[in-house]
Amino acid sequence: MKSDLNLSFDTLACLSGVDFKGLKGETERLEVVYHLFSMKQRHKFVLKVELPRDNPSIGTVEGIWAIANWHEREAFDMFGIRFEGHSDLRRILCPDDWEGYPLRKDYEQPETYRGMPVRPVKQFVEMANEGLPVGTNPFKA
Amino acid sequence: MQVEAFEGEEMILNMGPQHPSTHGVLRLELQTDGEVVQKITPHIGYLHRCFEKHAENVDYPGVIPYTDRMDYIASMNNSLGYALAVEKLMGIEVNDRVKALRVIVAELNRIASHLLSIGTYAMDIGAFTPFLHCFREREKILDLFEWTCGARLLYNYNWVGGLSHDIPEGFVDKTRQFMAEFEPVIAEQNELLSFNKIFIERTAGVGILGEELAISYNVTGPNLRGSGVSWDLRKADPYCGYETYDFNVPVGQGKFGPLGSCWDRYYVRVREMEESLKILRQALDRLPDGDVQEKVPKKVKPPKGEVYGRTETPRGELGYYIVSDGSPNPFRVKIKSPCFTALAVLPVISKGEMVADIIAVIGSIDIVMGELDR
Repeated sequence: MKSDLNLSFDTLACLSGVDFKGLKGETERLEVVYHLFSMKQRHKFVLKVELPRDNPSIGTVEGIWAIANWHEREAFDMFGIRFEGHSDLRRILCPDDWEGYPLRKDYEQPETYRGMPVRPVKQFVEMANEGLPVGTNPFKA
Repeated sequence: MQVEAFEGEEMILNMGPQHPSTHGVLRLELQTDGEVVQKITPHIGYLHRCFEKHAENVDYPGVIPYTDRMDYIASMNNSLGYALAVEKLMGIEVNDRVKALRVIVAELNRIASHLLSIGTYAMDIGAFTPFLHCFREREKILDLFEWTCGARLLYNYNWVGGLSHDIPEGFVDKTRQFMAEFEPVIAEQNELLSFNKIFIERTAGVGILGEELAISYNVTGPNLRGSGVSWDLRKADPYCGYETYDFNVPVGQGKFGPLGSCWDRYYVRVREMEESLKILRQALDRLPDGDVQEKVPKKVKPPKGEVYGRTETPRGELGYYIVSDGSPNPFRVKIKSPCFTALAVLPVISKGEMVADIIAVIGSIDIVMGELDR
């Protein structure tokens, strides 16, 4: 697709993982979505690959679009999708020893990380919706 | 990394996470041979605030304050991209006043962002005075924003379907006054910094980013244009009526060295501020009347579907991939950050440079860690 002159999708604009779980009318699956774009021909293409939720694995596209290296690391970090043949598949945003894949819908946040308490995202959102009095330390509340 | 395998002068040097020139919390692991850097491994994630997870737990308008906190230097541009993406999903067409006002605030914020980028870049290289000049001007823009929506950095101004406030009375005159004061500053800046011999020597030959490499790494914005590619989403994929404005897309020319050097990227930003002034002038002249909250829906509940919206922020192409399941909360929000791709190319373009030049390269790609780590 990259080398075909009529297509020449020379850049990968975005690579996202999506977890379809708990959605009515959809089969439970993981999806990798590639947003491709051609700077020469100025057209775009969206490629979706469906993967099972258990042990998802797919070939890397790092050799075609160099930026896929980091995007795939992020998808691995957040969804646990393994990209076969990737040169350096490590976590990128979370710490290396973090457990679980945070953007999966059934992710359960650990209570502590290296002895430090971790506040659940839901609680943050509730606090933001209620609004705290000015000057309150949210980490002590 | 196998330390035993090293020979001679090779060593590992840690730069950051707290370092004055890394523009946030970034750690670079440098493998050096004497003064020459052989390999760079960036470690990111120090500012990761689970933005995408938060977005799944709040409703659509609730995401906007989070987008402000990504690229806190150019919040207006961030929330604009999100608002446009959701509007596309819901099929809302805003009126001309909203469009023009969005262009005005986005371009003002672009100038403010470039001023900060240029000023801190000069400071990284060792010139302190331009920084003060830039901050003086940036302050005036922040004052205008504070007057409009009450906040200096995190505005929550672009709403889905409209704006949070109309501009206050007298805003147009004050903006014109700012523009009149600001225009000579660009020339002053050129004299002081851009064409300064020491500055050119420091930046014109380092961090060469070729066109093909840039496209392969999906580098966008001023970094891509610095490599001589005339690519700007405001021209190529216009939104907010940018197609009706008359402006140019400055590209790097390799004036003082190879094309795509740090100096080219820097100078593209300087010239972009002039173009932003052009757009601002046209937008202020044509500003139509209307109600800025005319199309703001009571309950934002897009139909089932997905959208990929992208806009040109001061740092490049910011993309929002939103999947909606028809509920009031987004099912998935993925942010494609321009800084993410720019930092990914850093190890490639700074291989073989001196340690001191790494500072020049980091400054020239203009990253904001808040957006990179999300």
